[in-house]
Amino acid sequence: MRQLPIDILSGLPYGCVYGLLALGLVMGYRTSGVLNLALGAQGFLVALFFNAAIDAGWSPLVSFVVWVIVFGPFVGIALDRLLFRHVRGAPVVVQLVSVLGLLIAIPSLASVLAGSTSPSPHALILAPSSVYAHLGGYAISGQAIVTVSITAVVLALLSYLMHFSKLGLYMRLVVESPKLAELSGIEAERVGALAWGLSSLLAGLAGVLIVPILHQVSSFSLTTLVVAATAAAAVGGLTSLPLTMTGALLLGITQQIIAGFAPTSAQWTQGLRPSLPFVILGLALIFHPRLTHLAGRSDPMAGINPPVPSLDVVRRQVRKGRNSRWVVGLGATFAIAVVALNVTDAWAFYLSQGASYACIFLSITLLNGTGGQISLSQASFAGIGGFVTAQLAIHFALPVGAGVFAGALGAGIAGFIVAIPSSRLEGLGTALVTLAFAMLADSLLFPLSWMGNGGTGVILPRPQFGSISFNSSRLLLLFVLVFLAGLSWFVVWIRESRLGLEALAVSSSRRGAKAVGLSDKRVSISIFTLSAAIAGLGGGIFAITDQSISPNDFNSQYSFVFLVPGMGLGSRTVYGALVGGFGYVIVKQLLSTFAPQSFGILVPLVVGVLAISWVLHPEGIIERQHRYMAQLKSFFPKKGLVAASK
Amino acid sequence: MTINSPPELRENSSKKDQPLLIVDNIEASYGPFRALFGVSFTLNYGSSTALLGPNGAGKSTVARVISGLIRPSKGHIYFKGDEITGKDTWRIERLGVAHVPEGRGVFASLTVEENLKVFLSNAVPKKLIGEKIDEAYSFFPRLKERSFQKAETLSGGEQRMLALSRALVAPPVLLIADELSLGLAPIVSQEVWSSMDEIRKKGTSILVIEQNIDRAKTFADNVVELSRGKVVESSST
Ligand SMILES: Nc1ncnc2c1ncn2[C@@H]1O[C@H](COP(=O)(O)OP(=O)(O)OP(=O)(O)O)[C@@H](O)[C@H]1O
Ligand SMILES: [Mg+2]
Repeated sequence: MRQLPIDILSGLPYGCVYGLLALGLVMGYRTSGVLNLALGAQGFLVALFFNAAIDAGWSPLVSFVVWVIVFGPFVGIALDRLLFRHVRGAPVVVQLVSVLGLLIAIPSLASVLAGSTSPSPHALILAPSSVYAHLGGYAISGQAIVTVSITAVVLALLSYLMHFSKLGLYMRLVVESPKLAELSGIEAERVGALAWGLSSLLAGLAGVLIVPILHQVSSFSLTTLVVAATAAAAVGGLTSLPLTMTGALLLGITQQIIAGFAPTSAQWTQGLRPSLPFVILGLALIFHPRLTHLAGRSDPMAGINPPVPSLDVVRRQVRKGRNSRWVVGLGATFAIAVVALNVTDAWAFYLSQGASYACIFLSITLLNGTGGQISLSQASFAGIGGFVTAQLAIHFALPVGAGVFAGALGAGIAGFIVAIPSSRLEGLGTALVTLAFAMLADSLLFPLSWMGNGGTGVILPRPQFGSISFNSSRLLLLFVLVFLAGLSWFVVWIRESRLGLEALAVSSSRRGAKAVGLSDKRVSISIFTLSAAIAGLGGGIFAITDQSISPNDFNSQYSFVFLVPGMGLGSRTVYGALVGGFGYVIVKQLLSTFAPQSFGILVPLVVGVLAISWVLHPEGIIERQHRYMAQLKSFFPKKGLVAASK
Repeated sequence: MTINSPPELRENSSKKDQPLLIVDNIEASYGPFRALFGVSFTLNYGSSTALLGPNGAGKSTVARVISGLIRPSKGHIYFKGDEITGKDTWRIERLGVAHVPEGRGVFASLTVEENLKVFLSNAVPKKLIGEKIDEAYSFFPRLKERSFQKAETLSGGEQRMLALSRALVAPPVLLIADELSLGLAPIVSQEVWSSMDEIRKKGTSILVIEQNIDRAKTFADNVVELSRGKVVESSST
C-alpha cells in the first residue's frame, strides 16, 4: 500500500492538465453550445510557438507572456469571429464538422508557420525533471510544482471571475438566447468572444505544461488528451466547473493508480490506463441525467430566425426518374469496364483503395443523409471490418472474399453495440458516444493480438476464387467496382425503402415519429448497424487491396477526416460519396506525384477550409452545384412563356 | 407603490409633441419571405401608440426592427433624433429602448431573481438593483414566492409578469411591449395596464402591441393599424 500515495501525487500533474483542457471545453460549450474538440490543436499551436521562440533564444518568461497570455486568447477570439459565433445554435453536425475542420487544419498551419512538427520541451520556471523536494517517497519534480501551482492560480482566478463578476451569469444567458441577452443590453458577441479567449488561454497553458511531462507531443496526442478531458467535462454535465475540475483530478490520479497496480504482462492491461477516460465518457453519457438530454433548451427567440432553406427541393432535383436511373446504371457499367481494363496496375491499386474509401463515405451517406445521425467512429468500424477479414484469412484460411462479409458482420455487431446507448441520446450525445468508442478502439481493441496483432498490423493474401486469382490489381479493381456499384444501389434502395422513410421521419422529428407509433430506437439502431457494416466492408476492401492492414490505417483521426469530406461533398447523395472516395486517392496521388514535398503538409489545411466552407453552406458542395444550376435555369424563362407574353 | 422616474424621463416631458421615434418606410424580410412593405409612423415623446392588426400582419416584425433584432432591407429608423437603423440590439437597448418580446421572453435556465438581476443590470445603477428587485416583487408577489425557482418552471402568466417587471420598475425611454397582456388573468392584466398608465405619466413613451383592441384604444393616444405588412390606418384616439 506504500505505492498508493505516490501514485496519487504523481497523477496530480496529469489531472491538472486534464482540468485546464476540460475547463476550456466547458467554457466554450456554455457560451456557444459548441464542444470545441479542436482545443488540443489550439494548445498544440501555442506550445509550438512558445517552445520555438525559446529555441530562438527568447527568455521563457517573455515567450510565456507573448505566446500563452497574449497570443493564446487571441486565437480563441479570432476563431470565434471566424467560426464559432456563426455556428451557435446550428445543428450539431455543422458544429462538429467546423471544429473537426479546425482540428485538422490548425496543426498543419502551425507546423508550416513554426517550422517544426513537435515542440521541443522547455522549462517554464523550474527545471522540469530536477527534483526539488520529497514527500513520503515521492520525488517532486520541477514540472509537477509548476503545473500544479499554475493550475491552482488559474482555478482561483476563474472561480472569482465566474462567481463575483457578471461574466459568469452572462455566459449562461448568452448560450440560452443571445437575442434575449442583447435585449437586456448585454453585448452577447463580446461575452462569447471573452469566453472563447479564456478557453483558448487554458488550452495554451495545458499545451505548454504537458510538453515537458510527455517529452514528445504531437497534435494528435493533444487531441487525445482533449477527448480524455471531455470525460471530465462530462462528469460535470458540461456545465459545472467545480465538478469538471474534480473529475479531471480524479481521472489523472486513477490513471496513475491503474498504471501502478495493473500487471504489465498482458496486452489488454496495458490498454487499460489510456482507455479509462473513454470508458468514463461512455458511462457518463449513459448515466448522467443531464447528458441524456443534450439537445438543450430551445431559444425563446428562435422564432425570429428565418427558416433554413429546405433540402427537399434540392433532393427532388437530385433524384432522377426511374428511366434515367437505367441510363446511369448502363453508363456506370460502361465506365467501370473502360476504367478497369485500361488503367495501369498502379492506378488500379489506387482506385481500388478509393473504392474502399467510397464505401466508408457511403456508410456516412446512409447514416447521416437517411438517418440524420452522426458518427465519429466510422473509421473504427472500417478497421474492425478490415481486421476481421485479415485475421480470418490468415488463421482460418477463410476465402478472403467471404472474409470481407464476415468483416462487415463484425463491424455491424460493433455498430449495434454502440447504437444501443447512442440511440437513447440526442445530437452531441450521440457524437460523443461514437467518439468514446473510436478512442477505445484505438487504445484497447486494435492493439489486441487477435485484432490488430499487437499494433503491428496483419498481412494477408489477395483473394482467390477457384482458379481466378486477384493478384492483378486490375482484375481486383473490376471486381471491386462492380461490388461498389451494387452497394451504391443498395444504399439508394434503403433510402427509398420503408426503413429509409421511417428514418427520414425520425430524423426530422423524433417526437413526431413517436407520436405516429414509430419506434425511433429501432429505426436508428437499424440504420446505425447497417452503416457500420458498410464501413466494415470498406475496411475489408482496403485490407485485400493493400494486402495488409494496421491500426494506423483506421485510427480515430481518420474518423474525423472522413466526416469532413463525407459531409462536405453532400452527405445525402451516393454520387457525393463516390466522388469523395475516388477524389481522395486521386488528389493524394496527383499531389505526391506532381507537387513539391512541402505541399503534403498543406493538404489538411485544404480539408479544413473545405469543412468551414461546408459549415457556411451546409447543403453540401455537390448539392450546391445542383442548386446553382437550378437557379441559373430559372433566369432563362421558358420559351413558351416568352411567346405568350409577347 | 411608487415608480420613480429617472431624471432623463423628467426632462422628456418638456419635449412633448416632438418626435421620439420615427419609423420611415421600413421594409423587412425573413429570408425569402417579405414581411413589411414600407411601414412609416412617428411616436412622440411621452405619447403612446397602439400597433394593431390581424395575426401575421407584421406587428412583431416592426417591434423587432426597431430594437435591432432584424435589420431592415430598406428604410430608416430614428430615435431621439439619431439614426439607429442597423445598430446592434444591445446598443439600442442602452439608448433606452426596452423591448419585451412576445412569448416567454425570460431566461429559462436562470432563477427568477437572476432574471431580474440580468434585466436590470444595465438599466439601473448597481447599488439600486436590490431595491428594484424588491419593487418588482411588491408588484408581483407571486414572483417573490418563486424567487429561487428556475424561470422554466413558472407558468406562462408568471413568465409574462417576470418579463414585464423590468419595464415597470425601471421605466425606459421607450417601451415596446409585444402582446402586453396575453396570458394574464383579468385582474393581473388590469394591474399591468394601470401600471402602464403610471409609467407613461413618468415620461416613458410606449409602443404597445395588443390583441384586445378596445383596451388598446382606450389606453393609447394613437393607433397604427397594420395589415399584410402595410399601414392601413393611422389615427389618434
Ligand atoms: N422567423 C420567421 N420566418 C419566416 N417568416 C416569418 C418569421 N416570423 C414571422 N414571419 C412572417 O412574417 C409575417 C409577420 O409576422 P409577425 O410575427 O410580425 O406578425 P404579427 O402581426 O406579430 O402576428 P401575431 O399577431 O400573430 O403575433 C407573418 O406572415 C409571418 O408568417
Ligand atoms: Mg406578433
